[in-house]
Amino acid sequence: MGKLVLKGATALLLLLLLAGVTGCGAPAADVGWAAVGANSATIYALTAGRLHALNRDSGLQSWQFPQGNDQLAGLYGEPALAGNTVIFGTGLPTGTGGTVHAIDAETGQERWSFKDAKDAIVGAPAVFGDTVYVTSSDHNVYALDIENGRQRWSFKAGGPLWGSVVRSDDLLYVGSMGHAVYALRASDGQQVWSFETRAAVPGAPALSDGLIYAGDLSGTVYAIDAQGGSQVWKASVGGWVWGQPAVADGTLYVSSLDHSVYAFDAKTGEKRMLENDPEVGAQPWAYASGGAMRAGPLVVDGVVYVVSEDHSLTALEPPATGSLKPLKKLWTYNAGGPILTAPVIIDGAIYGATSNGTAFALDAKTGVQRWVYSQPSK
Amino acid sequence: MIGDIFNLLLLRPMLNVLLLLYSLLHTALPGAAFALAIAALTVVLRLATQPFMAKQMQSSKRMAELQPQLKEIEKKYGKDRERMAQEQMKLYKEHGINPMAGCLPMLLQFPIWIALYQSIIQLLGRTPAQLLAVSKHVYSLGIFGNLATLFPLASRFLWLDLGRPDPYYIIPILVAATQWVQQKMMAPASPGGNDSQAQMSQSMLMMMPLMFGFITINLASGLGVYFIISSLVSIVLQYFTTGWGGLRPQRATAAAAKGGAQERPAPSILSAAKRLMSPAGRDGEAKPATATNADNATTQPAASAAKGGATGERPVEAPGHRAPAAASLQKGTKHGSRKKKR
Repeated sequence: MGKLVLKGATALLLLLLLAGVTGCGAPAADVGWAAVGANSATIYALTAGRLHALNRDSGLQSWQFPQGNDQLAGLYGEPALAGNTVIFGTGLPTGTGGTVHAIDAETGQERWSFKDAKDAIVGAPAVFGDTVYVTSSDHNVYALDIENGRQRWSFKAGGPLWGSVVRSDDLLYVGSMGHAVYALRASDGQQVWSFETRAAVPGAPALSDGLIYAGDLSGTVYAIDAQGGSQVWKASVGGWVWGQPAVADGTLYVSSLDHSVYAFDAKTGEKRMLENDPEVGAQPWAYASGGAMRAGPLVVDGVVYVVSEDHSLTALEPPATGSLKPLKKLWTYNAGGPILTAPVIIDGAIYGATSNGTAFALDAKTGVQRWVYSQPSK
Repeated sequence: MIGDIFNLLLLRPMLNVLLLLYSLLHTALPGAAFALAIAALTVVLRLATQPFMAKQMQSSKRMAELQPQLKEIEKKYGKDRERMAQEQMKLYKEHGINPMAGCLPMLLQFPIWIALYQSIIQLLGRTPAQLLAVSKHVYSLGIFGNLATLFPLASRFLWLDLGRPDPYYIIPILVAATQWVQQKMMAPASPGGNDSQAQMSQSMLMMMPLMFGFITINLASGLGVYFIISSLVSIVLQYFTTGWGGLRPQRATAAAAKGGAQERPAPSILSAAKRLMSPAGRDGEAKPATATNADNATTQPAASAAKGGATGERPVEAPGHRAPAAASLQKGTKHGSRKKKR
């Protein structure tokens, strides 16, 4: 009898172990990453499955969407602001659809939603004029009427789309997980050209002076002629490139999952050099953090802001172009959680969010914390 | 700390080999590359861990040979559990048996199967968070230099998106069916009796496949493919070692039992293979039973003895390995079946 009980207990234990290993078969909740958007008065933070409207000065919450205990799934992209509307995308917990929500920025009430996407909306929506462009893992770019969310056109790419679109004049540019960058006509979504990359392009491309810059998972950075779609140059970094590159003063900044941010001459693709140690001599420009740099760098007023999975937000002052002076670290802020999306700078303050569900405001010059918002536990 | 070591020594190598197999198959069979990579790695690992299983079988066999003496001890000291345990340990010591020796090989395999399971789950991830997690495990040197270019993996296979549950429930049904066949093969041909342990064995025979089938309903179908292939490999290996086992029709086993079957020790994989090569050595073909020591023969359950009479062998410990947890359960079930028939 004792053996029977022992065997029964063993069987039960193993069943529990099996259930534990498989997660009981239930898909884990995917609330996504945290991200922020901002206007002159309010910070809109997507954290812990909800959109929070926070006072820019105090960090106090005005409203949240959805209300109550409901949570949204798959919040990966930064919310976009268009007039009095906040627009953001979500995925379904089942992974079988995605929704674009348009929320009244004052009241938190939903104005419209777009639910025709067959898979998650990962990238940040992009608003140009009266049209909002969203990309989806279902391979499509959707152009929606900003007033009511009605679809104007869609374009199907050769792979899932995780990055947002950028626009120049009448052309839209988007990177695809199907190893390509596309240029589309903004008016009707017709493809103008496509450029084949070595690996998936999960982030948004950057646009500057007639060139499109995109990075892929093989660590290759491409400069592509924006009109014709031909390659101008390409270069390599040490790891996967996921975030949107940034261009400022003729320099292209690229962050990588190998924990580092790199700098290139935006026209030629040559690595920028600097001299941190006179005895070592000139070295390629690079700054290493303690974790993956998923989001692209942000460059404002000559200062490069980089965020990392190691919880840090760092302000760097690069040397002037042509100078070999060392890279100067102005300050580092520990946010207490991984920062996987780009911060926002408005009026001397920098705002960001962590995957732990917090949002924060810092003085952009000093890195001193102004406030931290953490969703109260229910 | 343990997690880091597990990742470094098992998960990462496994995940990257799976990716490498995928990259080799992707050019020729883009639509089936990941399913075939899972199949190939499952088969290779299943065969690679066979020596562990053989040791486990051997240990179980020796334990089975001691059953009469153990039963005697149980009868004699059944009320004094402490004394019974002491006597049992003494018996094991006398025969140079470590009762835990059978468990150790099985435990050693657990991390391997968990690593394979985790590799499949991680590579089938569809969300940015899952891809970011995978990025930390992908090698970027030598022959693994181009693995980053494989993402996102092509996850379509037949009607399935391997990263999502099967919408038609065919995979969960196949998982349950193949596991039932495997477990049934491991069980003696005719369990019979009303012993509570036998009942438990029978209920486990149904419970485990149903449990796996149920779990697979909500899991990525790629994992279901892994369960099915693992079970199929186990079925093949089981057939080579013990024949159809409990899958044989009851009438045949009953007739064989009437013929006065005798027990025969569990054959090794090698001897099973030799029998397989011999035209008359297949399961189900009548063959003179080999008598063994009478004392040992008393330990053989009636049903197993019947089977032995027909095949010249008796069921041995299962080499089954769908998932680590299930493997243990099979072992438990097996012991239960054997014991009840004494």
